[in-house]
Amino acid sequence: MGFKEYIIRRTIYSIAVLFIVIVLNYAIFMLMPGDPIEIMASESFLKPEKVRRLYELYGLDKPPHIRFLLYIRNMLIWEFGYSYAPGSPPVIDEMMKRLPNTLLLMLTSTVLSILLAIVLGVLAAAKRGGIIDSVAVTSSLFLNALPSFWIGLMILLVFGYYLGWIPLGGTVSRPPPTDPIQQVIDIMWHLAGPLTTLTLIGFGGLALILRNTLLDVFTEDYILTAKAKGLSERTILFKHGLRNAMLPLITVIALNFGFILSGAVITETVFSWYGLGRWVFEAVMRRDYPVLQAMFYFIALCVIIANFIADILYGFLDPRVKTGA
Amino acid sequence: MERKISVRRERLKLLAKKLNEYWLLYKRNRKGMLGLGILLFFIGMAILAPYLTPWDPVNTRELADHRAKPEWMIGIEGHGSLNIEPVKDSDFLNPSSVEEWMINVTPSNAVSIVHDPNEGYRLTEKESLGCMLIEYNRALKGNGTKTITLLIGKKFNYPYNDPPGRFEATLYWKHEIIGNARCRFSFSIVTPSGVEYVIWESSTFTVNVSWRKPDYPLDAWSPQVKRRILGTLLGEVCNVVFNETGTYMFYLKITILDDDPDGSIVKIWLDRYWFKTYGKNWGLLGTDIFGRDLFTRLVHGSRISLIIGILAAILAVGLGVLVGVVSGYFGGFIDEALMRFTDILLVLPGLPLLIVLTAVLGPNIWNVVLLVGLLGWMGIARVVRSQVLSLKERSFVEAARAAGADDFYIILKHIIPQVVPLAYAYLALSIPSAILTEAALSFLGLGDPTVPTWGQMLYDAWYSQSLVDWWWVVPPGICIGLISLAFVLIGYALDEILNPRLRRR
Repeated sequence: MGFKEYIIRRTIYSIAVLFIVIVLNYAIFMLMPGDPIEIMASESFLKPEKVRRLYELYGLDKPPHIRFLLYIRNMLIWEFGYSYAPGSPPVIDEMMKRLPNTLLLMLTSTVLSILLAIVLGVLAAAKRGGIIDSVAVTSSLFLNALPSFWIGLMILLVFGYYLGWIPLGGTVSRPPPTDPIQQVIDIMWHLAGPLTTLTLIGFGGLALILRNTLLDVFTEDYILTAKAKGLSERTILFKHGLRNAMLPLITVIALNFGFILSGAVITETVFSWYGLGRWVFEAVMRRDYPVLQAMFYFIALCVIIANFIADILYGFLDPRVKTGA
Repeated sequence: MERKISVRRERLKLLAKKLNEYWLLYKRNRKGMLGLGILLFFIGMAILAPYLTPWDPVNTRELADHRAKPEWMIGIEGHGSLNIEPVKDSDFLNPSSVEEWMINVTPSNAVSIVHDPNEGYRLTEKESLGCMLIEYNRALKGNGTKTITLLIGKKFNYPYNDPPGRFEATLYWKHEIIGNARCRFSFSIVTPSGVEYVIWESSTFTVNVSWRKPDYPLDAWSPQVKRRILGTLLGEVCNVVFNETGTYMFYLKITILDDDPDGSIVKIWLDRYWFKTYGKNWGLLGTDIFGRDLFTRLVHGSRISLIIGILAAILAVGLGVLVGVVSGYFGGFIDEALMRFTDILLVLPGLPLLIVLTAVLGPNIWNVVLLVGLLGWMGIARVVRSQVLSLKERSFVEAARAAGADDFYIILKHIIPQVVPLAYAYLALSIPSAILTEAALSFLGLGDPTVPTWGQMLYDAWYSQSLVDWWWVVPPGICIGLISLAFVLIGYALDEILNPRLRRR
């Protein structure tokens, strides 16, 4: 089986999974109890005429099978309709407004965790059983064992409240600064808290994985060969060890995408960060099904794409995979 | 029959021997022993919870001021205040209860005060009777209005340099008037420097009344008291009244106005006469916004965390092993279908899905257990499946099949026992994630408010904007971290011992 065929197979498989997720997504929200429009109508004493118009607006007046087909069409063309929150813009507009904030948070924290994990993982594996190793392993385990929201709360409490280094929440200052440079600094200042939280949650697990793969790699024959060749410790560690140990790390990062998003829901809620994660939480609280449906679809899409990229990358980096799979 | 029993005995012996071997191996694993130690600490906490604190973690409220600081903060900050409850028997259950009160009558000997065992204010028939009876019986005869004043109260020492967060008094009375007389009641607090603050004054009664209480709560937080003492609803009554240390006094003042030339009869029954100052400091960890003891909530939280974690993890690991074994052993279409289903569940966003489903099913602790279990088995299923894939090709399975064993027998007798060590390690590793998930759900406000969990404690602190109370916020987080860490350490230790491929690390 060639590389091309492998890619095609993975593509078809990913699309199939995506389709099933779309269907499941419809089923989950179909089965949910409670009629949000009825709630809305009874809360704001709407006239029957207005209620009927609302049903039409959200397409809830049509029979289920038509709604299902409409739903599939809407998902494919990214037409997510309107949030149930009165007076809010279309779901897709709000999503696009929040997406950059979440992306900024997730990308910076992922990069920072990977860098930290590499430093710690390499240092720990280089001197196995040493002080750095024990400290790195214990702190990683303990950080992983702590609830992410609690880490966020502690950062908020210590650096926000007691030391006053970071703001107590939000994404930008109100009113926002006018100078572009000031704006960037302002966002970075607000980013510090959630970024630190997500990094602290993320790097421990990665560092542990990297350490263990490095230790595994060290037992391989080519390391022995390199040692026999008289290469320096540093060359062996970075050129032969780290390069080969990075492979599983890449897949873990891609596969952990959903996990990072879960972390974002909590972290964004704690720091009231104007992003997608907090939106999901708010939508749950408001029973805002269009928003939730769109977000579930979006997250699943992201995870599927991340998995796909991981598969391809893995096949590309490790030729054994595509022949074996 | 005889042989079967001896075989069984042999097997048990073998099992015991094996377990002993594992235990010896485990004892040498330092991290594993640390994990076991932490776990035993929390198990002890969970079992002893009702003995460690006398209060109910959810329903015992108003123990002290809301958001009271821990008692040891007095030592650190140099100021603070504790509860003072001067009245011993406020229900007048014992005859001697009348003697604890300081009673001042002018003119003296105009009234008699006794304990009445056959009367009393009760909410239900089951409660015991008993109250104080004050009787004025045609003592002062003659024309004009004769005034009898009674002070019934207590002195107490207020040694703290901080005012209390709140004070509260209750009293119930009823009276009977025979003849032409009137009576009036009022409740006051007198400071050491002699300033009298009248908290409440009744109207003047000319008719009989049955059991009643003052027309507003005698509470430092009630608006009527605030308006009376401060002249405004802003500010704290306690800061004004309790602004010095020394001997305070509170009393009920009863004024009987006898207009009858022949003298009159006035009988007053008094019950539930009680007074308390709520300290700004309380217990080991202070109180929450409902005045509940935080230490009690912390201790009881260990029970819920352990139960939720273990049950959800058992469910997840059970499902994972089931799916993994079936998928790996039967292969083909079943395998394909189950693994694709697993993939799809892995793609769905875990926590958001959990949030949605918990919000829909309602905040019930069993829903949380069920959902965390039902959404946590996928990783385990994959690992078990790969294990089973290699197991079923082993010669002992082939031998069993050749001997005529059916699939069910092979799975039960040959596959499952080989997978169990893996399952144990995964069980220990799944528990922390279940505990953390429950905490996260509770923290987001989707927990069961009637169940005292650590996540709920943190949600309360967050929601009531009490994060600054670090003695409230830090302990539950540390506890969640430690209990999770304990299971992780145990899990790794078990994994190293039971799955020896890792031992070289």
